[in-house]
Amino acid sequence: MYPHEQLLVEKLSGKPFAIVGVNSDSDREAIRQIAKQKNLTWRSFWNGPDGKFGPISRRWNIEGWPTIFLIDAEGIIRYKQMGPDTEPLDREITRLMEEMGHTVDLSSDPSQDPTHDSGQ
Amino acid sequence: MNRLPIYSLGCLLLLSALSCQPSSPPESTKAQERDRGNAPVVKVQPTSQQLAEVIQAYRDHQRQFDQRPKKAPVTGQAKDERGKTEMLAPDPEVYASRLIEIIQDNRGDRGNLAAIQWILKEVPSGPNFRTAIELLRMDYIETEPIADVLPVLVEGYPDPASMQLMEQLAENSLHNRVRAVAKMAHIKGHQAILRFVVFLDNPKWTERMKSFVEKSTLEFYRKSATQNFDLESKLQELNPSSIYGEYDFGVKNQGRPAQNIGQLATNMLFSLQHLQVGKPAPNIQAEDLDGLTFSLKEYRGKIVMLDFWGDW
Repeated sequence: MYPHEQLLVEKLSGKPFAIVGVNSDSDREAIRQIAKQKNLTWRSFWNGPDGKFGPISRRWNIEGWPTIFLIDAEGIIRYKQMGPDTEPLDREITRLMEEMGHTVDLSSDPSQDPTHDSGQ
Repeated sequence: MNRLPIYSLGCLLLLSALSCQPSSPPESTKAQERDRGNAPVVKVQPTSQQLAEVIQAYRDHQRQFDQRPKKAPVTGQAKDERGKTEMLAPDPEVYASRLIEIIQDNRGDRGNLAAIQWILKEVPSGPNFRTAIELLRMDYIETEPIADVLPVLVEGYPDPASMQLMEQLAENSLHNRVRAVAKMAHIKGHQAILRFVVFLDNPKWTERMKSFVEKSTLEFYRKSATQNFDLESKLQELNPSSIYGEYDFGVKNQGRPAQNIGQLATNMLFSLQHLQVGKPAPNIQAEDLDGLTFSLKEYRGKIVMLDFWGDW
């Protein structure tokens, strides 16, 4: 997922879009180093020392990783996805950006293949 | 086929990580005993010990396989040596068959349950799986410890036979704990089926998914997905203050805390009522990776991609 997330950050820079992570690794220091090394620039909540069973993922009833929610400018959940398939995700992001009057082109990207997944 | 289809790579890794770890510490003394030689030991052992030794033998084999020498570079002498060091991964079906034989000779023994659980977890389909389910149904359906076995049945995609068993136990068991765990397992199994069917409707995944399950199972899944399943009222029945809410679902092991059924049901109900498309996202306020607190609502005015991720 990382290359795809980095691509979104890059293509949508200057637009009203943000990635907010909820990281479910139990070792905060280790994941902090990894995030630095791999240039993961978006901010992440930390799910605590229980990792996948931490309080945020329990509250949000997360049963698989990655799980992604798209939330609009008014704070309404508009889309929900389990699994790393980037194609429907890009389509929904494009649609929501268009609603806000921003035309974006996220198509024709090699990292859309979910088997291209490198980090998760 | 070791696992039924998993809806994401991340989840696949999660499940395999959970299922590959030993659920109890290795019993080094037993291993040492075995290592002293292959002379047959003629003594009568309790069933549970015989079963535990088969499971331990599998773990030993698996550990040896994990620690096998890495392939040498394919040149000169190393090429000739390579064939000698290669070993095969243990086949859980072989060990499951041995366990089934021992269990069949000692029907009804309480010590069988742990081995049945092992089979259901390690070979979640096929003849040994079906025999294990049948043994559960015939010999343990009225017992209380059957509750401990049920959660493994819904870790992946549940088999129709296990869904039937859970439904039966949820309705008819005389033990509150068994009914509580069976109700939760049945709900979780049903949700897994719904997720699976969503994937079946995605042409990109259909062929890949179909190869994992038999036709009759597929039909069962489609039927379950379309039947009227009142998830909300079933979850409400399991609320923390009910007679069911106090029990745990699964046991604490492998760094995975046991989950209280009441709390689990509350979270699932919350998800059903609030974490849906069209509903306001609940705020999150927590520390980031550097220990600085921030909150989700600071991002109001932007499209937010809330990404539950992990580097594993």
